[in-house]
Amino acid sequence: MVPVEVRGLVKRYGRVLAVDDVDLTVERGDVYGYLGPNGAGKTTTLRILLGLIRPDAGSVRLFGRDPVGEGARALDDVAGFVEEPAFYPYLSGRQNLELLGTLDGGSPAVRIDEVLELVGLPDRARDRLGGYSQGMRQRLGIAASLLRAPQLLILDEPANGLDPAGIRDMRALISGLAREGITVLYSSHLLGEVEEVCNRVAIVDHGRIVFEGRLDDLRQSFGEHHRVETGDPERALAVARASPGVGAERLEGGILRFEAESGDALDAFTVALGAAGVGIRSLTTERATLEDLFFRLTEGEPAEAAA
Amino acid sequence: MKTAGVYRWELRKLAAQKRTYAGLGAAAIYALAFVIVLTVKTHNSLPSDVPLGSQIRHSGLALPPVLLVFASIFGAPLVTALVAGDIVASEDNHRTLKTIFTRSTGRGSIYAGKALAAASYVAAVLAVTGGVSLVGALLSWGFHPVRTTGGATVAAGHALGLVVAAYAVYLLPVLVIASFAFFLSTVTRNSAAALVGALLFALGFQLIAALPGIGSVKHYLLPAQFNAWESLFGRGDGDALLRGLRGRARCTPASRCSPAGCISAAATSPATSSAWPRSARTDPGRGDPSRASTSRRWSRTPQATGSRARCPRPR
Repeated sequence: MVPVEVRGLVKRYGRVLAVDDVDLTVERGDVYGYLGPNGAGKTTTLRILLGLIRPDAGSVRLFGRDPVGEGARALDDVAGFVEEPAFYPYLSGRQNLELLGTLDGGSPAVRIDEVLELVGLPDRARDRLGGYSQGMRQRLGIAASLLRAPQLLILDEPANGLDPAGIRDMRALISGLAREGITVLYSSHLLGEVEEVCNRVAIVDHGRIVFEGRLDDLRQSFGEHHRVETGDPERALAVARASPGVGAERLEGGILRFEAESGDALDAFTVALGAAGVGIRSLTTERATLEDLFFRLTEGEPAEAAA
Repeated sequence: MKTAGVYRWELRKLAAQKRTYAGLGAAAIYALAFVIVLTVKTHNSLPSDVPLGSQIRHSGLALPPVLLVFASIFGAPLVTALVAGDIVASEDNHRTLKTIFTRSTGRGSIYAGKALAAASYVAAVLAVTGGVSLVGALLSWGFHPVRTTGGATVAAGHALGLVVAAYAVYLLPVLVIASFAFFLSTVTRNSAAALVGALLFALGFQLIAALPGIGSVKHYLLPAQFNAWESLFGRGDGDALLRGLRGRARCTPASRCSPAGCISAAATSPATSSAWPRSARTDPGRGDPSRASTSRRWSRTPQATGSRARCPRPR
């Protein structure tokens, strides 16, 4: 059974189309990034996945079961949270987990200890939640999700409120869970975070998915560029135009920006430059970061590619 | 089974909240204030215009029922709605509904557990009121027989049973208030709105009951159920009502044996159960446009229910 299969999902709030014909497939073992700027409809989609709201159209299947129609029964192998994790401030962290364990049909104390240890909260577990920082609540949210021993983890902006060390720990935790075979659906607007832990992404903007696939595919869809600085840009441009598999344009400052179909085409071009007596002062490869591509897709901004 | 688990945790949650102790504390202070004032200010006149009012200094068993009279208009609805009106709204306030709705227990069990916990709190409030006033009054005025409003004298042991029965009968209309506060708590997701709404509900009934010309309809209104316990200490027919509550005696409004159980249950069930479909189709989250209501129900699990009381059908 596919962990997440969403087809034609639509959700409106009045005149606002929060989710617009979304298709999503998360395969077993994926760490799937659901990327988009604030207000793009990420949380609304996750709410529907967790059975908290009904879509206006479309279908959702989690391991083949319908959380919209079946309610909590369809979430047996699923855990997660939307927006920030919410708990009872007048109970301790541990009591909150005990309560949620009861709602899951009972969780042994040793399992609660395990998940508290896993998220680094065993020392504060007996403190009331009212005194927890945002980061500690995020950690407890992940602990509460893991309490169910889920096969699919749905996390909405889990790095919110975490300090850099906390974000690093959380990435390590998610990577570790993925190695254990847990599928993770992870929404974020922190692009670097997704780039490091996710093998697949969907980029959503104004409720629509504008890209869905592997990160490498995303990068390749925008190609790879090179810059060459030579002593004779005019002749270099002529050589480029004569080289098969190479397309070039001249930039300011005597720099040539070009694409090469393959490594062989690149090699042949540089050799041809030498043979034509054009000295190469520098040659750099430009590869767009996920952030560049993200802005191109969601804002239509021209990307400034990083070297 | 799941409802039992939810119920136990709802009680633990109530035990961890100041609001609960505010309600129970208010009930205890209310009872103590009567005991202290009537003990210290011996020259003060007794509330002889209410049933058993003239008996207060003759027997410690008279004060607990008298307190019920004064609690009916404002105190009982207020203390009841304090928690019953908050038990769902506070989940919205803490944004915890979405946390508990994504576990393995259905919404029906969650609401049933909450309704039962609210009912238990109401029973605890009455138990505190009755217990504190009974102990205080017995210490002040002793364990003596009580003369009923009909002139009969009831032995102390028997009168103690009638006091307990009076509180049990009084619990039923209070549960009606609780169920309405629970309903408002679910619908408005706002504790203050539920509290004020429940108070207006109770006061509204008092006003309607005071209207002239409503005749026998009055017997079926909430104030009549609040006063139903008085027949226990009426013309010596307290035993009849006790039997009536057990289902073995005639029980008609005309004989002042108000069928409080039936009427209260009839009022409680719709209020509590109507909270369920509303809650089932409402988005538990908030913070973005998704707080707006969704269009359809997504579950048909049986609803939570409030109190159930049995009483013979009036003839």
